[in-house]
Amino acid sequence: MLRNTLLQLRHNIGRLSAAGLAIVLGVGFVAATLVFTGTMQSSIRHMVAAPNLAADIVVTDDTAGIAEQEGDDQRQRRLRKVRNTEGVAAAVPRTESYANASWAGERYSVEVNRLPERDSLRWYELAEGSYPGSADEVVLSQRAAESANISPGETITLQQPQYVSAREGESEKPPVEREVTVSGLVDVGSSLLTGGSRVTVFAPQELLDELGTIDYRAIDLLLTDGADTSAVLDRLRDKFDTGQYAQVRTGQQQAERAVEMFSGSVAAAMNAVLLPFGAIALFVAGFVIVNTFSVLHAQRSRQYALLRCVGATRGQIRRSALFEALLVGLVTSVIGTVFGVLVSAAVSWPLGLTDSPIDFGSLGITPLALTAPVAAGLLVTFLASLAPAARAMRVAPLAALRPVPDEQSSRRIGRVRLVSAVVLTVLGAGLLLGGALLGSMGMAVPGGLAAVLGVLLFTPTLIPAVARAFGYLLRSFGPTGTLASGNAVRNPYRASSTSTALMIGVGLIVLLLTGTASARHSANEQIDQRYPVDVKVAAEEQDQPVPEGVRQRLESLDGTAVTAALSGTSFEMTRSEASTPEGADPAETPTVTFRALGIDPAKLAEVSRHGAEDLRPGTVLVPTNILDYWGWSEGDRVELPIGDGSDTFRVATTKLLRSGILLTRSDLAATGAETSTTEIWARAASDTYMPGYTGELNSLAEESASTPVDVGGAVQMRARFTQVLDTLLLIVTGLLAVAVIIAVVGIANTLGLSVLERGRESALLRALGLTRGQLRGTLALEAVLLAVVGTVLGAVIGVLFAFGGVAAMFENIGLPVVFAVPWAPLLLVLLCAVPAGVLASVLPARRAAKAQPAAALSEE
Amino acid sequence: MSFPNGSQRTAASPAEQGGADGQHGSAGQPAESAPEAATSGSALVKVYGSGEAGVRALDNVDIGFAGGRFSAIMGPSGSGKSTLMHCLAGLDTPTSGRVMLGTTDLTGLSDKQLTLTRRDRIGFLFQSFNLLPTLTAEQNILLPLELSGRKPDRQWLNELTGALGIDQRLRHRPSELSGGQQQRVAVARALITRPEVVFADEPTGALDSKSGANLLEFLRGSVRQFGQTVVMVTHDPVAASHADSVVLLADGNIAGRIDEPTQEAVLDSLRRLGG
Ligand SMILES: Nc1ncnc2c1ncn2[C@@H]1O[C@H](COP(=O)(O)OP(=O)(O)OP(=O)(O)O)[C@@H](O)[C@H]1O
Ligand SMILES: [Mg+2]
Repeated sequence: MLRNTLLQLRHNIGRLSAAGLAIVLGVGFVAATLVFTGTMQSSIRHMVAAPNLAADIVVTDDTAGIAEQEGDDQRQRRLRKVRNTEGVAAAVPRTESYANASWAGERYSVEVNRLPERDSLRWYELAEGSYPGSADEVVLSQRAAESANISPGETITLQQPQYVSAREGESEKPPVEREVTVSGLVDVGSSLLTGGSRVTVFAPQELLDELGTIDYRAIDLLLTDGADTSAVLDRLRDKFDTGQYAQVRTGQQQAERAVEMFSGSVAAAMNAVLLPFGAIALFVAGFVIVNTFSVLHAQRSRQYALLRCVGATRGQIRRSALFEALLVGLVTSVIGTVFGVLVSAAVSWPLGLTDSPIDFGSLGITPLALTAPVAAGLLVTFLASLAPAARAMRVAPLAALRPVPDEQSSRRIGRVRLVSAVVLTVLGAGLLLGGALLGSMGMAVPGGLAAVLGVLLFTPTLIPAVARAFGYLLRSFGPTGTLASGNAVRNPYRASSTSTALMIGVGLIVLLLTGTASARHSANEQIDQRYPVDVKVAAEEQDQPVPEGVRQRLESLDGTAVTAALSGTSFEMTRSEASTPEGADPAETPTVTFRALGIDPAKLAEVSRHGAEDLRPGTVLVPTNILDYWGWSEGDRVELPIGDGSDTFRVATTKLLRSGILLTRSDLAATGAETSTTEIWARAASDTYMPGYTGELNSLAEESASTPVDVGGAVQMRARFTQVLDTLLLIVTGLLAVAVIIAVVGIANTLGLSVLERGRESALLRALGLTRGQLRGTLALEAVLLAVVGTVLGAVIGVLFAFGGVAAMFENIGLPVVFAVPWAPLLLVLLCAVPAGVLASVLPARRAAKAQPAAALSEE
Repeated sequence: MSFPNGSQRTAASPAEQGGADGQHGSAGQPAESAPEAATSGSALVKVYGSGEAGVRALDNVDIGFAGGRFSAIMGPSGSGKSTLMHCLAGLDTPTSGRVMLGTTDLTGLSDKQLTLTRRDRIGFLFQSFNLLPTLTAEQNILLPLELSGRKPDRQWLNELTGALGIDQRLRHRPSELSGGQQQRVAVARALITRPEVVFADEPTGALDSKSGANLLEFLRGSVRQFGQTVVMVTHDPVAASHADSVVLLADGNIAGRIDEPTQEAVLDSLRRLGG
């Protein structure tokens, strides 16, 4: 029996190739994820451990924040204590801070570390140039410096960060700035989180002193030759009588401790994000496997019957079938794991996690990363083969004696299945709807899952029905269309599991697209209300007019819909006793300068997205912070000393501006104040791509060098939001694409198996005058039909579920519910189904068209 | 069942009807077969496989089948009957030699031209698996016309299906028809295009003797009534006795010819061939 199984397997190896590919892709995804996250983890470990390993002993503060409170004196005292300890040759505080660095017109926030004078404490290697020879030279971390385009010899400016100067009580003084030369680059190793994008500056202590960055959390010690490490450790521990603030450990111990603190967290988080996509891919692959084994067993049913005739028991046939599945699962899972390792190696290299694409030593290949994907692949294959094997077992010995049936007996959908499908779908949809109306995620999520399960049970009736409906459209393609639509649904189970696989992948992508479209829409509405003006251009210097050229440039930008000029002036106001908040010293809040802006209400209505109707003659619009400051409330009548004398206005709150107050242009003019065009507001056209528009606005600001202008407004926030959402969408779609690719492989699989099954039919058609092209066309249409049905159903279900989910979620967090259907991407997804189907049919069609009509007819 | 009597051939003659593609003239070529042959092969060689292991299924066969006649090919199993038929019908290409359909040289045609020739000018009947399971009987019958985009001749369809006694079963799928009914649907399909030649490979092989006899009578009727050309491969001396002439094959060679065959004459010759 075993030998027979193996022989059969060898005979059918070609038929299993597509299912094998599906498993390889799914398992490969899981393996690549595990290995990749493991690689990240080990590179982070390395980064964390390396600085500590350079020192013989490390003295650290374990409690964050203590160092600052201790103050300089205490810190100096501790350092002296350490240095005076017998056996300590050197004690170097590991000073680290941040600075604003600028070069080539760009500003970066960089980490500044002390470059130890002692060579042995430099845990990195010099990669290029030389170490600093003076206090105005620095070295940079190599990889980040290269990606930021700085090379040795160039000059950069380091500026003390605001919070350092503020802490030193020098807020009036401008922050310290130093021009330094990059003398070389050092290789600090790399990990996505640390070495990747951020430039690290290693500077001599003198420079750090000048920049006022003296924070440190650790002191690295080197021992004198021949000193006994444990004796020194004891001496140090005695000096810092408790372990309260300071910890004394060997470099090795400290490295282990640092690794321990990092351990697990990163990899676990990334695995939690990535592995569900692997599970989806494997789930979809399961459908392909079910199909393959169903077809395979159906084709072998006569052989099985013959075996039964000669005395094989049901159990033997079943065991043989399961054994075959396990064997296939094992081989393909192993291949998939190897594939996954290769993929993760290919991904890790450009990210700088490894030194070369074949640097397998640096990959985080753990035993788990190798065994878990194989186990997952085996499990999926085994589970997917259970039902087909059970069906193979049911064959009666007599079946061997019957003539070959002309048509594959198409099994009908079972009653139990139909009933549970209806119940689950109705119940789930009801719960989802209820959750959506009540804003209860607790109802919506299980409801959605139940409905999905119901729909999945439904697919054997649903998909052929939809395919038949679409098939009528195919009739217009003539006889090829008629044949294709008939072939596609002649085996409902096969058609449905083929299209279901695609439906799942597409459904998830569409769910995501619709969800983010709704989120985007809702967020945009929120931004509209809170930040109603897209673009605000003002001169950097207060009360300076915006050059006319800037306004013209702004107006000429494609993204700009409309602009408005605001006249502005400043006025001073003294807080009266009455309006001083209780407990506050009136002397401390003397005279304050405010900006007053005037705009024509009609213009405001054009340029703002919200709240323009509040501006009326005699009204002053005030942001809430100013309202609170003066202790005013909405509707108060207040006297404002603008221009000559004072005028009385009615107060209304607004979100149109954050500082200053807003009047109608004529009211402002009536005060007699001297005004100029101090601000230009603009509204972006509705179809503007915000990130691109922001870039144009920035260059506009740069062009106006003579009168520097600031560009503000909601557009930057919109741009950032759009970018974050787009990036997220792209990544997740990319991850789901693996499942879709597997589903398309599934279509090719079904088609390929059917082509083999229909060998005589194809031959007959060719004999009767179907050309090769027409035969290929028939298969392409069949594949397109399956692809379109899966995609359309996936899209419909994805949109519906997204609506339910969005409604429930928004209702839950108290936001107004907004639906948005992402038409353009949706259409793109639907259109992609056609080429995907055609692509899937290429190999099977080639095979089918190769056969000679006569040769195929004589085949048994 | 018998061939419809009053049927008039309304369409143009077969030669004009078909062959949209290159009719590579063979007019000047001295053909061994009779000039009026509807289908003929000269110096046909068909080798399966290659080298020493190759099987010479046809060994320099010259043969022609006259138009408007019912011809049978007989011979022992493995003698090359099916191979000969496949070559003549353009289902397979001979290793060497020439195949003529009317005045068209099939050996020079591309796969596509050959396909269109089969579609428009040749009818087929196989022993089994003649019909596509996804199509109804009617769709099966009209398939060759559909493939060529021609309008079905409704009257001709009605006459054929009426005479074959399948006019009530046209909406059924093959799996819902008996073996004999399926074979009759196949006959209707073979004749619906009014082909120049109908090739049949053991059309009665899977039928009981009564349905077999009916089918043969019908084919014979089509030859008598309007001069359809039918070439049939068969094992069965009874079937062969319905034909106007029998060609005997043995080991890929022509081994004899019997005109106006009787069962006894056929049996005799076969016995002599050692079949
Ligand atoms: N595709 C093929 N490959 C190799 N040899 C073949 C092939 N088809 C036929 N043959 C060989 O060619 C010879 C003629 O075969 P053919 O099928 O023409 O015989 P036949 O007269 O139709 O036999 P039967 O009465 O059994 O149908 C046989 O020896 C057969 O084994
Ligand atoms: Mg034969």
